[in-house]
Amino acid sequence: MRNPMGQNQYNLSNTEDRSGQSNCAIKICVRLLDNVQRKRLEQNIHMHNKGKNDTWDLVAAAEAEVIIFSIDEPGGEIFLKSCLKQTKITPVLFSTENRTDCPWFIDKSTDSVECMDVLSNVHKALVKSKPNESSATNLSPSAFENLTAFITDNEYVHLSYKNFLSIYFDKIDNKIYVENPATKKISYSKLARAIHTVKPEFLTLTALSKVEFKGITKNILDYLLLKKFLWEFTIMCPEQKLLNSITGTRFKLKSWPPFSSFSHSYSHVLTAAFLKKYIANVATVTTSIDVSEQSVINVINAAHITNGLIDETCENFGKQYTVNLQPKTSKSMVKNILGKILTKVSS
Amino acid sequence: MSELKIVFTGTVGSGKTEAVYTLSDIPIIKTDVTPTDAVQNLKESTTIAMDYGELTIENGVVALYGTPGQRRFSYMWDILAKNAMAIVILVDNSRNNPIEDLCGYIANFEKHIENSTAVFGITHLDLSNDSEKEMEKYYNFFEKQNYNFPILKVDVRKRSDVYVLVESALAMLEVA
Repeated sequence: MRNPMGQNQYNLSNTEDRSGQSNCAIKICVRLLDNVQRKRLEQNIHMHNKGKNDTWDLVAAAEAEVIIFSIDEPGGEIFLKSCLKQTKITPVLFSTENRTDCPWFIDKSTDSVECMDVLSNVHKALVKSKPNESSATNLSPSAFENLTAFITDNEYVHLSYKNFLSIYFDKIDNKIYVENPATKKISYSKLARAIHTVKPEFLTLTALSKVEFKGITKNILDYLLLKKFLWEFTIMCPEQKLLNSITGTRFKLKSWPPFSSFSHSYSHVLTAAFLKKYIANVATVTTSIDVSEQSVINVINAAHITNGLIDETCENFGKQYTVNLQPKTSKSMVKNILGKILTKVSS
Repeated sequence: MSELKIVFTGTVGSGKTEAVYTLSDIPIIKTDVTPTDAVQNLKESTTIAMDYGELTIENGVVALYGTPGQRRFSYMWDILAKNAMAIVILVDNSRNNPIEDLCGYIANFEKHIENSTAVFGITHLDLSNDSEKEMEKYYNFFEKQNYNFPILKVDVRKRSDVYVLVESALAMLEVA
């Protein structure tokens, strides 16, 4: 297949745009050892969601953007300090008093209505603080799929944006050349974000012959690696579904993803570890290791795009192993260690 | 029963001491001496017993051990790796036969890996012309051998790379 439309040139405005379906669900976790209080807060979160189109998405701590915690429980103070050092997590203190001046505070004795008021304010502030987050997904899932299909189905591709940014993809040599008058060098994440955030109608993809491609790129010295870029580009794409080109329903990974080369979350690493060991479908992965469906889909899609996925239609798929997890470490200890190292890395 | 212990092992000069130093909260304890053999051409000092560091976490510490790289000090490998929760094997890609080195470490640490997990970090790839092609040979080797271990291109001088190694090890332990 030359490209999704069977043409040499393709404009992404042809793609059905589903980006309008985005909501502002923010990932939240209640990190409390006290089960009664935790369940009460989780109930409040569910109540807050009712009729508000999923304002909150209850997830595990590793994926959360907002974490409700108690300073009185073991590790509470260390947790708060590490949160305040990084911007990714918004801590909400749940205690009898706010002696640490945490920006968000829920009084332990508060009733459900007051608790939901605080949650509402946190949500509003977070949505305001990232006004471009939803518009950062200009590329709808189908546009994303068509773009990646075009890049991987053709050997040499030119992507242009309004005659301003020119990107040349070389599938054979696993390289990307960027002709960008604004900056000389561009990182993987910047390039991925740039493509994700531009308006799809201004993106044009053209399949080039080898001669054309080599002629144009011979004077561009700097290049990025295509596979690394595709991992970064796919992992950061929200609201993905399994790509249409994926035929099977159960998968395993051929090789370990190059996690040291692109931004990722621990859920992605955990998903990779699971799919390296077991043959599984999306639902089995999410239920077995408590990660979001989106994380699993991101990893499967990225592995598929970079030829790192084996599905049941492949000859060397192998036999089914029964999933029988006997973790050699507890989740809390893992998060404990990762949280500590993350603080060191970011300091 | 596993202890809260991560062991960094691998070839001479692969970056074990650096990795322990990167993660440790305390000044690391080293047993370095000036080499008198061929190693003196590679580095000014070499570990003969172990490196030791500590990562303090809630309710305890994770002990970080670096093994000696030289085979003649391999008697320390078993002692240090006993009951470790994860073995991080660093392979210097610039050596003559890094795949053979890697196999040697897998064989030596086999029983410990069975009881815990292993992660492989390929170092010194900056010295090669095409690090991706170099990595391909490891990926192909792992696929051929049906090894499920994480294998990553790393520069242990970068904290984020050491973080990814530990992150991968912990993920493997969670799905064990």
